[in-house]
Amino acid sequence: MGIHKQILVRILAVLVVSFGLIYISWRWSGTVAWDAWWISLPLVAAETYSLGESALYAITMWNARRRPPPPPALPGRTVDVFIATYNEPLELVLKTAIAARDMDYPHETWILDDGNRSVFASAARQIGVGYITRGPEWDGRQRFAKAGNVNNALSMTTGEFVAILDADQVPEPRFLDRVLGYFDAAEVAFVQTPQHFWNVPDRDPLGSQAELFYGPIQQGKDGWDAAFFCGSNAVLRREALMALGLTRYTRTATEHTWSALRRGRSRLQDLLGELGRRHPAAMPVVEQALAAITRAEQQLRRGDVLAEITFELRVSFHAAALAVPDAMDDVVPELDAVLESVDVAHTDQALAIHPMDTTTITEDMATAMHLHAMGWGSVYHHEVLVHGLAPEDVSTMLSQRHRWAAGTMQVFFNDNPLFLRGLALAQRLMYLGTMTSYLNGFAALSYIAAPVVFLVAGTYPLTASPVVFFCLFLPFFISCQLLFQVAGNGSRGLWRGQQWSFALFPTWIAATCSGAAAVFLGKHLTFSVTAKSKQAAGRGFHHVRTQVVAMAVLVVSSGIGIDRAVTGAAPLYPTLITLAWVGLDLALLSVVIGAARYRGPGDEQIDPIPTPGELTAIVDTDSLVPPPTGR
Amino acid sequence: MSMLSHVSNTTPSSLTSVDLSVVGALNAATVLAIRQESAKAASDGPILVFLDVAAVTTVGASGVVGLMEVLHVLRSRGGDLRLFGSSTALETTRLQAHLGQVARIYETREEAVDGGRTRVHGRRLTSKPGWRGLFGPRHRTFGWG
Repeated sequence: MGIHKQILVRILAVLVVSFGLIYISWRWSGTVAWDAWWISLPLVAAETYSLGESALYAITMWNARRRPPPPPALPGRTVDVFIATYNEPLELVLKTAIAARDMDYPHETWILDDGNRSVFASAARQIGVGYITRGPEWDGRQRFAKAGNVNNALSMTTGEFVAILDADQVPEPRFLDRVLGYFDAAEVAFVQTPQHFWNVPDRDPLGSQAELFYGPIQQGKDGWDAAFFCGSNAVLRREALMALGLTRYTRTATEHTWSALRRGRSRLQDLLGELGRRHPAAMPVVEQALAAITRAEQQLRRGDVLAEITFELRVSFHAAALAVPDAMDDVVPELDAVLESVDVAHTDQALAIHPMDTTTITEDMATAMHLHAMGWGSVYHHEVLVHGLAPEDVSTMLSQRHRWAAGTMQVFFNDNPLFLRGLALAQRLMYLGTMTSYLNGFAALSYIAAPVVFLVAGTYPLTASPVVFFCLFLPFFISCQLLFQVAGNGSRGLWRGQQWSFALFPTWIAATCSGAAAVFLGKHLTFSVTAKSKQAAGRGFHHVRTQVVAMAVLVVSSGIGIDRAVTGAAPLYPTLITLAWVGLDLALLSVVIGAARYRGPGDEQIDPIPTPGELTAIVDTDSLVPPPTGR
Repeated sequence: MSMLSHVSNTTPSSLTSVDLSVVGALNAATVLAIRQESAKAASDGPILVFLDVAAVTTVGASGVVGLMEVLHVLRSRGGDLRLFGSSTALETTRLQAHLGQVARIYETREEAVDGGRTRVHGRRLTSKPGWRGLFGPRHRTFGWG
């Protein structure tokens, strides 16, 4: 962004916040219709929320950073390129793997196959790339979806840098050369590049391109040293990831041991009671084990080294079990379970340390946030270097957005950036801005309900003169739109972005509830892999039925409102204002019509990276035989 | 996998032992090699791995994480990892604050064999918190401070 545009953006940012504060102060001070508080309060709360979001957007854009060309990549770096896959077709994954293998900068390419498909192992061998799948240590244990897949690969590779690509994200040969130079700065933990989808038509009916996010917003976050890691098309520094995993592990190690000992005591006390009825001769084993737990707690209190405490506990359990040989079958499984949960090496899990965050289904954002909190830096490199596939039907798109939103809200409730130690204020706000954007679903509900209530029932959601309302609201609204357009810096799809932000209100609300349920009620959030081909064709309207119903309600209430105004039952000007409001709501919601009718890309969408002949030869032959070993 | 049922009918120090050493950098590559050797050695039953770290010259977070994974592999099979040897690189790294809380580096192999029960003097591996630190300037770190 040039200096003149930056100045203009800052002026507009000041205007947005100033006009917004004036408007919202006026709204709260004397316009809330308390006799209809049930609609008036949600509306003014939604407006306050919208002001907050506008302010966060203004702060993001205040410092937007357009980086100069990157320094050249130093020779001699070691890089592992990970292609994460779970259930994608072989052809799709191989195309990415071949392109990754053929990148110019020396590196090693690995297919991380969470589907453990032997044909993938054969194909990987044929094209000369590595193949990693989960080993038996993961059997029966929590797998942590993509984060677990990457952590597993991290534990089996050694490159200084790790490039992560989703299965459909095909890199250009220069990808590594263009981003590795940033790592000359020792504090850079990761470099993120845009996600660009070649199978999206110009009208972008599903709002896939996200040019505003992979452009001005990421540049704005980058300006505050808070560029987001988005899970693919990025390169990360291994040491940064490992330092993060290690810090998190040791920070919680003592606490983890305490709680595991407490749980272990409780389990053994239950077992003791049970043995009293079933097998009294085995009771001394458990009594000695309980005494060992008491000793371990004392050692923990003294600050002894955890590995020694847990090893001694194991030795004590072992000695106790051996003392009564015929009790082994009754007590050993339980003692084993206690030891596994207590052990400092986390033997109850497949890995001792998880560098990628495993507490959420949006592991990318959570990992980046914690890296920033540790003082690591990040870079957003604004150049399309990877070409991927966007969802081709509304159902898949909704499922993908729900996953992003639910995971993000899970982090919001569980690991709120406002309270995370180590983040700078601006970084907190950058993360907060993204997280709270999903609360827009509730605001949208108010913006739909309020005009309906007025037009149908004549209930005023605010008490004010239309003239004063316009004088105070319009400057705020117009300055917001101007800031959006100017800071958008020519990005396509700005209006489309606003439409989706509003029209996806059922998805945002559902995702917020899912995120809250995951954190507060312990409900499991599923990591659903985004399908890379069209699903459930012909049922598009079924997936956006809530929005269609909302549109119908708005249209019907407009008819009722017009009738009331014509017959004198409702005042003219407030009705006209409300009709304009309904018009805006309908314009925003109408985006779902095109999405529901979308039948996938046409022939005019051409893959910029042609399918290599090598791939056709591999997929078409029967040469894919399972390798001699599992990995 | 049962950890308890794999422990042999003797005292832990009499488990089968394997001696390994790290020379030079303690990083992802060196610890991966140790992990693979340890896993191979532990494939027939629990073992104690004595890892001599005296010749370690540089330490990275990947190296420390890798050591924890070696410990994980060995303990999952009923064995253990014991570090020993005096390495200036290990003693001076900030990573020691993390490692020291979890595992001990014994001065000698003999000390490591009996789990430090006959240590002549205790070694604090983490720095003591001091009141002066409360008022000093905040130190931004990459995670190991």
